[in-house]
Amino acid sequence: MEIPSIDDRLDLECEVLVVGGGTAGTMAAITAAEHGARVLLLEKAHVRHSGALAMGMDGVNNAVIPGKATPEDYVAEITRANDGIVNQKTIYQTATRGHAMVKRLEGYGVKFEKDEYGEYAVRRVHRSGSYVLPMPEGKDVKKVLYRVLRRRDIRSLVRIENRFMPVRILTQGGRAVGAAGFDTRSGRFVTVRAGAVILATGACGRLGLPASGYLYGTYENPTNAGDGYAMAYHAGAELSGIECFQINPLIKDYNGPACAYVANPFGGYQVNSRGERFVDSDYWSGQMMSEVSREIASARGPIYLKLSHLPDETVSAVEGILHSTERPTRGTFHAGRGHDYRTHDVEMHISEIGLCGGHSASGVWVDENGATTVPGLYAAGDLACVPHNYMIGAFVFGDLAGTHAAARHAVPQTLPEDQIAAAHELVYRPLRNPDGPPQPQVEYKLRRFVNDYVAPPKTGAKLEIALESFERMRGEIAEMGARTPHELMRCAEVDFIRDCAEMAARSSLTRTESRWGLYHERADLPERDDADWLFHLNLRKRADGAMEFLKRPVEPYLVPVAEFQPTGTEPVLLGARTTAAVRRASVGGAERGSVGRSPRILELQRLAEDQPGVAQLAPYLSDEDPKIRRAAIATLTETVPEGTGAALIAALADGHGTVRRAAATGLRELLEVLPATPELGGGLTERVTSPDPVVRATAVDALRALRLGGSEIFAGAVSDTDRRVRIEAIRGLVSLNETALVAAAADDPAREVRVWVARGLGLVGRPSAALARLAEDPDPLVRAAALESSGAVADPLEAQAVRALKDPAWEVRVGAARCLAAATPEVAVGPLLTVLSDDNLDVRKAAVLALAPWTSRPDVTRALRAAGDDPDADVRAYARRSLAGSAR
Amino acid sequence: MAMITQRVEVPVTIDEALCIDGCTLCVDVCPLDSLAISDETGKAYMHVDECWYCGPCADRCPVDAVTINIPYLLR
Repeated sequence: MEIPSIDDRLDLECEVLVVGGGTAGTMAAITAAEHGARVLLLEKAHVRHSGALAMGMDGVNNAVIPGKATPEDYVAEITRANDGIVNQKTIYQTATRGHAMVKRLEGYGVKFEKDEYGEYAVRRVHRSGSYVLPMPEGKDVKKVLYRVLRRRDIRSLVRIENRFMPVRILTQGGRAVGAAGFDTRSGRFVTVRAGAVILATGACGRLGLPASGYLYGTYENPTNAGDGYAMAYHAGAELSGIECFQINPLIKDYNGPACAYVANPFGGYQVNSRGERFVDSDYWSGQMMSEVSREIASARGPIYLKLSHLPDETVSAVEGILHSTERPTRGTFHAGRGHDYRTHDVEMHISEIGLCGGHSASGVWVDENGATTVPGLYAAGDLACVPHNYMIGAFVFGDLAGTHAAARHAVPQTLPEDQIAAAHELVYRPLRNPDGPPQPQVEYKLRRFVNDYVAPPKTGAKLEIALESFERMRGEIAEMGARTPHELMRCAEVDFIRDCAEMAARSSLTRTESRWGLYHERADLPERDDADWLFHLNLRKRADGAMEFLKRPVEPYLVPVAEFQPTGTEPVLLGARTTAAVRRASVGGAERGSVGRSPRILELQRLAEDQPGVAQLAPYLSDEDPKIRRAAIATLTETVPEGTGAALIAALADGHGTVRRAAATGLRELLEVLPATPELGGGLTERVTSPDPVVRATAVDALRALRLGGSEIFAGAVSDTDRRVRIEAIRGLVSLNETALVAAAADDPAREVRVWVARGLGLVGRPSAALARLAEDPDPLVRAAALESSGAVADPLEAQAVRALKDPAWEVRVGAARCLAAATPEVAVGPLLTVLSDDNLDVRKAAVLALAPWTSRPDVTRALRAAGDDPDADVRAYARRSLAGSAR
Repeated sequence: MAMITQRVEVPVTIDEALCIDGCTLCVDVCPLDSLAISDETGKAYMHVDECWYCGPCADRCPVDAVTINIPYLLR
């Protein structure tokens, strides 16, 4: 392609410019529009599938749901996890606004896991804090947000430009006034005049090189090249905690999360090669990553996510989530190596380093409204330094930034032409040099240096070599060649990556202590130094182009945390070491285009752009080709016009199995947004007698979730021929507290159903004679569930449980120990003490937890003290915790 | 600078017999913009080895023409 002239540029104008259409960006755009602002949303991919949620999310890591956790507990937890260096005002926003955000998302149609009674099924994943809210059908988050963006009221104010990539934020008199970038498909130069700018470009995922050597096989979405970090820096904003890298334990080689947050509630856990749990940290932190990294390198390495001890149906349920959400090709990866969770534990490794303000702390410095230190410039989501903010925090800060920016914009008449010329040079320079080194080679080398010299353990000497290498690479990057708009995009990203690498090295060098476990492990300065370094380390670009540092005091805590006493003094300017400039080279190149021709499926796709009603989709829903009917259902679930429920219910009676399946999936997906009308209930009730068991199970499930089914429907479905339907029926009966009808299913021929009966009888909270019978079931999983449930309803089957502590199946011994937690100490303590030496780690853990209330007894105290040295990390942590609790 | 053309195995493959002429869904949704429509065949293909093996291309294809293989280096 030719270099376009600056004068040929596309000039856009808006009140609020949002850069990045991922989690925070879409929410910022929606909120700003709701406040009446005219919004321009620029996305380098396509908003429907972009950012960290490109393929959905399997759960919320940090939901503070009233009744399950308090904002104060959460703020204290994050303060400890981040070794005291947090602006609690920002954390507090997520803590107090997260619940309303979950509700808002639910109103949009996002599904969060709820129990039989419609309560949020919050899980405790780490030893402290109950903040994990699973989203078993979270693959559709982005689909839901995109639907909201295209709602008529929002759409009239939000203009979306996909495949546009800004490279610089423009400033005038110190205020952000717009951006310059280009269309990555056509190569056209673009400038934007904006009243305010919200950066929501995600993490810097392409910083370290994954162990596989594949440039795009990163933990983060590889489109996230640190664009926002570089743009905020060059606009003069402060960045903070860049030395606090993001590092995660991941499936080795595949390099995606395994994910402990999903597997843990199902009974999965991480072990070393001896089968012992080894993580002593109570919450996700750099300390935890240190333990993981050390274990891998030790004689006990490597490490695994263990699922192979779980029953087949549990593994299937875990697979159902892991192989459909967030990184759905996990299943393809395991299958390719002939591995299966039932027979193979998953080998885990530690990821490459990245920058991520929303997971660790490396981000753009923001206040409690998402405002940066540059007026008119905001940052939200993984880009912003709000530690452990994750998905819910990204939504919360997207919303805050959108609100704040919508009220404080000032659209400029002109733009700074010198900055525009510099941005133009940055974008198109590689075209002058088509035979220069290609981006993949340059990027590979740059990121290998990051691995060699910046990744922990860090030393001053290695970081100095890093700086020298990155300075040298400025020249190589300036020589880099490109021939197409696509290559220009990748070249500009290499420039962002280099900026991030330099920031990472300089920050790591400046903070002369070790902190945050592995994230900032200085092998040459191994001690934490609170006296000198209980400070935020911020950096910014000085007027002369040098990177300067300042220590910002930690503001006095809103929620006191005993371990840390921030002093709250004035910022200390640390100064800078100077850096050099860039050079250039010649022209040439080709471009690619696309073709167009269309059958019926293309008509449908075009129609989908215009929010079609059910009537317009009707001909496609009844097309003779099942492919078209499936595509029509897909369109229906994308757009959800009025009458979607009825149309999906009609499609549940389709003659083709794949169409019925698509309708069933759509219906489950939309449960939160379909109005629970009597007509819908009537339609679903009809489907309960469908010949297709998938349809019947979906209908029963939907009737329960929408509270539209009565006992007689569920009672009838309990005798269905298919066990999936019978399980949904049991859940329906549990939701109506029909103890007797649940108990009546105790003789079901299928083990899975009897497990649900036993669990259900624990949930309804009333004693049932059926539990005693189920506790003698031939199947161990049923026995285990029955024993545990009898404890849950405060009617423990004491004698059976004491006997069951010697059952050959570990699951039964766990159930028995949990049951005995509700028994009298006279009966329970003696037998529980004997299983503290059980071979199985989960049995020992259940016994320790069951004994916790009885630490006033000397025999219990003695035994727990011994258990404090158990080879299993969970057993020892809970034993020590019980003793500490009783000492207080 | 001396340059060569090198063979690289790419992760995403398209079944041209199934791929619909004129449809661009997979091209539209790829986060890395790695898919394109071939000028010669009118069918989709992977034009650069840039893949997060994330799934929208296969997920959105109405005729199941897209196969995502794990990139060779990771397999």
